Amino acid sequence: MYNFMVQAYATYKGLFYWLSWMSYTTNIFGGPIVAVITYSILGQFAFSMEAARYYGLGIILNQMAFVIISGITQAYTYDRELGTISFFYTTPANRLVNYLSRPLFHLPNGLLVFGTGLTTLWLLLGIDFGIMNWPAFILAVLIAAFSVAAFSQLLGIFTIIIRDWTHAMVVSTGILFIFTGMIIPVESFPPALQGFAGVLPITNALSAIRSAISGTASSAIYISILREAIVGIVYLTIGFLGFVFFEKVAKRNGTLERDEI
Amino acid sequence: MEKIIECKDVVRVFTSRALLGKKQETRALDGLSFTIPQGIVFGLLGPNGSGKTTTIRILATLLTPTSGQAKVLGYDVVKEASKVRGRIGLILGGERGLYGRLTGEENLKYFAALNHLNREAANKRVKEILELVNLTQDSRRLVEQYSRGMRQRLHIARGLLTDPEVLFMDEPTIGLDPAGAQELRQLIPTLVKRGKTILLTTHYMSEADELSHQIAIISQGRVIVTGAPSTIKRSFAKIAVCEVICRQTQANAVEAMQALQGIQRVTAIADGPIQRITIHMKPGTEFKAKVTEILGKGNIESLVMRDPTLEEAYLSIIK
Repeated sequence: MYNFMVQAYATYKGLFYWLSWMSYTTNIFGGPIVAVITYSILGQFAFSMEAARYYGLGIILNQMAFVIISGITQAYTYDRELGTISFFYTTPANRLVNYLSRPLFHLPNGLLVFGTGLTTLWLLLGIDFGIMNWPAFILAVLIAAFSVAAFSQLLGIFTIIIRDWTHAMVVSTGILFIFTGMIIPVESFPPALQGFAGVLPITNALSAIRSAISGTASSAIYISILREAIVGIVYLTIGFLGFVFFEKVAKRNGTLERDEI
Repeated sequence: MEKIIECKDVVRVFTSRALLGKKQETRALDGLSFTIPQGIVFGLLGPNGSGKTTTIRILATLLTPTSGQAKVLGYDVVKEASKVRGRIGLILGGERGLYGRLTGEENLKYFAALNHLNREAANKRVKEILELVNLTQDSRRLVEQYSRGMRQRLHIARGLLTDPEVLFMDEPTIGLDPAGAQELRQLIPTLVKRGKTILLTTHYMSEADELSHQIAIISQGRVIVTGAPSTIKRSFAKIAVCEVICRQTQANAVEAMQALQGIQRVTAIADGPIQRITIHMKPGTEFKAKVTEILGKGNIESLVMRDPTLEEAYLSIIK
């Protein structure tokens, strides 16, 4: 456990480049506040209070995903750019422990973004916390953060073999924005795209969060949460297999040697 | 003597492809073979691009050879890489490879954790190693605030962290000031006395000469000469060196000697009224009579042949 925590701390502090007061407060607090205000007011004027809440909640999840994806993919990108990953590869370190330790401290950041966004939404539009299904709500938020982190791990590992990979982060957050029901209801997509949306992180959790906020107590919420958890576990597993495989590919292709030039 | 490191016909080809262009291949190692017994410093010398770093990276399990076999401590670096890791230390010269946003101590604790040291062992070892490289006072400063020499000392500390049996040092004194470089040079024999085997690459020939028990000179990915430094200087050097001390400086003497057949290079240093001349020539060159004529018989205080230095031998072999 000690070694796990040391690795989590070192990869977070050493490789998360938003860890200065200015960057951290801007991204963790400023970003969600501005985004929620923009989309809530937009929704309010364009449609109704209900639409505004719908947009607002979607955008909170979007901001949470953005912060977690950015943080974790940064860790992989900088580990390669700094040349430190080469030294990691010469150690007998347990690859699974290292892989699992990397997202640990990015999860609280995502949850902090969610809390900031939700507070902003409550102040702007009001949320009836009295009717909320709290256990389902909390579980859905935690599972959403987990599945986004797992998805980010899968995105991040490609940096080991592809140097200019940061654009993929931008594309991925865009895909999540469009297809997970943040702004556009998933039900409005053709069936094939609904299937695609179902295997993306956030989609199932967001549906559960919306139901939990409206006070729904049906088992459908927990099925959505379970689906989200399964999606996360699948991403995490594929990501780990890729983490191990890409190490071999990098050594075979001499990928990391090119960085020395 | 037990073979600790063994390279047998190792080939490494790097392939790159331009966006719409054809495949380009670079042959970094082209049948490299050598063995290193236990408890010695083995100097791997060669010009830039000769394959020194590629060799070290292959032996440190960071790169797989295209063909051939490399073994460390009897284990194949590809098939049994996990058995090699943890028993080796890697020290690379240069700025990369450290977490600038962590302190020196945090960097070492991270690598201690990767090497399965528990909290107690890690704390003890990190403290010891920081003292060894003289970084104790700066251990809690961020590495991004370190000077180049301090970073290099931290690289060394990381390489020694697990007290490895085999050490790969790729230009370890690069960036170190003379005092720091000397400290490292003094540390290396101590490590060897404790049974460590060290593979050292350096561009400083005096360093290689001072530290290495054996040397291999590589060029274009192949070993072209190997042996003890004294053997390389005496037997393989394609050069003979003569030192002449003249009582008085002779104008145009250097140019005149430089023009003689078989003479490769002449350098002269004035030391008060005395002039010290070093003549590099092809072995077997008949030069004494002509040089005496140019400098004047009565002007020559002494004229002696000496063994070439490692640098002189190296340059003559590489050319």
